[in-house]
Amino acid sequence: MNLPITLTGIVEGALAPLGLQGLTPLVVYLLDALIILLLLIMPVVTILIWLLRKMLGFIQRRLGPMRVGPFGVLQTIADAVKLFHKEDLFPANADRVVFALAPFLVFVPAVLVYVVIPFGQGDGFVTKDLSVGLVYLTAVTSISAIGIITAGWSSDNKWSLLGGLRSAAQLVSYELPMTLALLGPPLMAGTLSLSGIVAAQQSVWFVVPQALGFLIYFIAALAEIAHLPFDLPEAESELVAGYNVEYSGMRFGLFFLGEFANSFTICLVATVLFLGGWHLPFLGGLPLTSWQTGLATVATMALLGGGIWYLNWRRAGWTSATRWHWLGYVSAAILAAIVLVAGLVGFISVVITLVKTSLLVFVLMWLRGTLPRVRVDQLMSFGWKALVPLGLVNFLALAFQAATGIPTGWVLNLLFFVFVGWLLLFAWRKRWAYSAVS
Amino acid sequence: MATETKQTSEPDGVLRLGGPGLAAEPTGDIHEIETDHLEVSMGPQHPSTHGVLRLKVKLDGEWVTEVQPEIGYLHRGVEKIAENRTYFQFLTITDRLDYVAAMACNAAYAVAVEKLAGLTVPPRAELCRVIVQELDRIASHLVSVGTYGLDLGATSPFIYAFRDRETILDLLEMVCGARLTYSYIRVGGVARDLPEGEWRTRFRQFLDEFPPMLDEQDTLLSENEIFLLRTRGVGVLPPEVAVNYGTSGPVLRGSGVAYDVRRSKPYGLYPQLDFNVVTRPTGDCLARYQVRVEEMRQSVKILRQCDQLLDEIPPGEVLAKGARGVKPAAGEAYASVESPRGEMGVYLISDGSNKPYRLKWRSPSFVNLSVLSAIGRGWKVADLVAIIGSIDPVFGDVDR
Repeated sequence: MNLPITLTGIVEGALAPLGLQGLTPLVVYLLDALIILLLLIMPVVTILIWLLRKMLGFIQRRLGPMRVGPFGVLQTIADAVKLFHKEDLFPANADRVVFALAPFLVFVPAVLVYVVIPFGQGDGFVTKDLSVGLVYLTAVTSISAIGIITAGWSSDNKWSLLGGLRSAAQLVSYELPMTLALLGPPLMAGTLSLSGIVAAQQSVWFVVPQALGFLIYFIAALAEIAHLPFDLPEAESELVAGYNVEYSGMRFGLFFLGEFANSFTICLVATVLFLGGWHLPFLGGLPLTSWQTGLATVATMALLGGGIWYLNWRRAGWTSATRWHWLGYVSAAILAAIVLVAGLVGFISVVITLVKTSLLVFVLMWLRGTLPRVRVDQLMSFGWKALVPLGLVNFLALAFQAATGIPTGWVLNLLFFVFVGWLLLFAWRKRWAYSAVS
Repeated sequence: MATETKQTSEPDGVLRLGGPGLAAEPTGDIHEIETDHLEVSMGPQHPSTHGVLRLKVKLDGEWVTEVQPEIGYLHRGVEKIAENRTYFQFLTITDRLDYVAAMACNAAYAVAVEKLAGLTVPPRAELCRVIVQELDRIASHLVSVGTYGLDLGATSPFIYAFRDRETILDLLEMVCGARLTYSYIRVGGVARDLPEGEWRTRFRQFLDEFPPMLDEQDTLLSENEIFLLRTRGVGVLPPEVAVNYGTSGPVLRGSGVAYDVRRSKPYGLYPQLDFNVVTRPTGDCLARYQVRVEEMRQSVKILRQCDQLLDEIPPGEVLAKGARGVKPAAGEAYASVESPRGEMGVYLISDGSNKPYRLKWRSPSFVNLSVLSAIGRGWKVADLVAIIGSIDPVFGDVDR
């Protein structure tokens, strides 16, 4: 980051008269975390929830939220405000302390993960590039399981208890294949630092040599965040709402937000570890200089905003929807101004990371709109009998490759690609046969 | 995946069925660990009990060891109300029984009173009855199939089902002005003839557009591997048990018994119409689902024939003479129709006045639901939800 005034400088200047310069790094980290939380995660989660509801709406032939703000963008905020108004209920026989703490145990880890995620190129886009980033990541994401189990237990409700028990079994089981899959990228990159792993993907994204690992990670992570088809802990039609059935108000809201933050997190981690982070395909990193980046961003934004508005206008004419077109231009102009004024080299890299993440989030929503829920025994047998052995084979092949240089990992993935190809062919032919009959 | 169904003879000599979980009795050392069964109350406020059903469920972990339906939360004393209404007046109450398929309720009551009083329904009215009943059957099965997806966690099929149901409700609204409580089929005929012009066009359009839409929506579920995992081999109801419990409709036909009131005890125009009685041999949740989907296709087949008959049977009288103040001679009669849920029968006793002396409503949902405690044991909680959904009870009809 080549800002003329740095955050560290400001903090140091403010603390120096008090003789507290020693605290500068701590304060800077805290402020960094706060800025990331307020400026990045909250808006991202808000937009994500809106996007999810819109996407589900389109899949289900509805409009989704339309009333609050342009296209209903502010619906999530309205919901949160509503939740704040609600009474904070405690069941009569609940374990009050545990009950009160459980939502934070779910929400806080979901946010803590962002500390080590490199959103873009350069030190300015990662709060703390830990050398053991991946270990930190797996450790922190496991905490939310405790939150869910305690929430289920402390509610003193039989349905919550069942939900809590389910999540205990599920989260512990799927931790294993997820971690096995996560071990692949550091084996190739030779580092546990997430920035290092992204840097190592400059020539080829890890999804190519580790497609199987990517798939295992993605499926296991779906189970880990209790997303459909693995949303058993809160199975609405079976356990009413599972572990969070007794929660109301913002405590429920924290579960809700934590869930969405988690679905963003797993996509972000997948992007960083397997999809090359901020690297563009075939370009091998960012060849552009600062002002070229800025210009390219402005052009992209203007084209995108203008294009979207034009399509809307062509379709609907001068309606309530197109009346909001100025918002697109204003936001594009603000973004462009930020890019030009600050001259952030890595800004576009953040955009690339977020675009890739959004594509994965779209897959998540697609799944949510398509799949039914599996049963608890099917979930368990799939985890232990399919994902864990596959994850082990994948890990051993990659480890052998890293140790000896014999390309066992590549061979395994080639086999995997052939298998997927055969599967697709089979599905296509079955589909064809089906349409020929009916 | 466990698919076998176990049968056990209890001390009282009653044959009981159940899923693989019945084998989960702990043996040997595990007795040393003190475990307890969890008794939960599923409903009456529960998203998957399709109304105000309460199930007393005993759980061993996730396994259901005992399930006992508790009903009556929606009891309104309909049979008693009938004794204080004239034969013609009571019809509007029947709408409130099976509110998902009110046309069948209207028809069941009307057919019974006509049998009791010896009324002859004009042919045009018979045609109108078949058309609205089959349209209503499709609408009801769409609700059933759509919410079944919802029970299993798939939200989209529900929306697609309700899209098509909306078209039917629009058609029925044009016919009688109501979307749910039709009161269209009256004692002695129907309220008025089907509208001409735009209604006919939209009706034909529906017949053309619906089958591909049904295929699309069916694909969402029946080609989904998870859906098949959740339904195939689950909640198996053997044919002899289905018959012993007196089940009817898709629940019975899903067990391979070809009993359909439209064929077995023909009424109205049905003997003239060509359609198949859909059965599936397996008796599991998937079979019951498939029977419903296939029945919608058969209903379209019936409606296509009715579309031709609309041109052949000229418009005319649609209500028998003397139907309004009908006063049957003392006696009794039982008549039934095939509602989307099975045999919906009405038993009437007349003492010669203009009000029924006694009315007994044989509701298919009630009888079908009784089988739940037999087949619900030994499955997981999630399977129990799948089984209830496949039985498809409607609580206005169960509790009466």
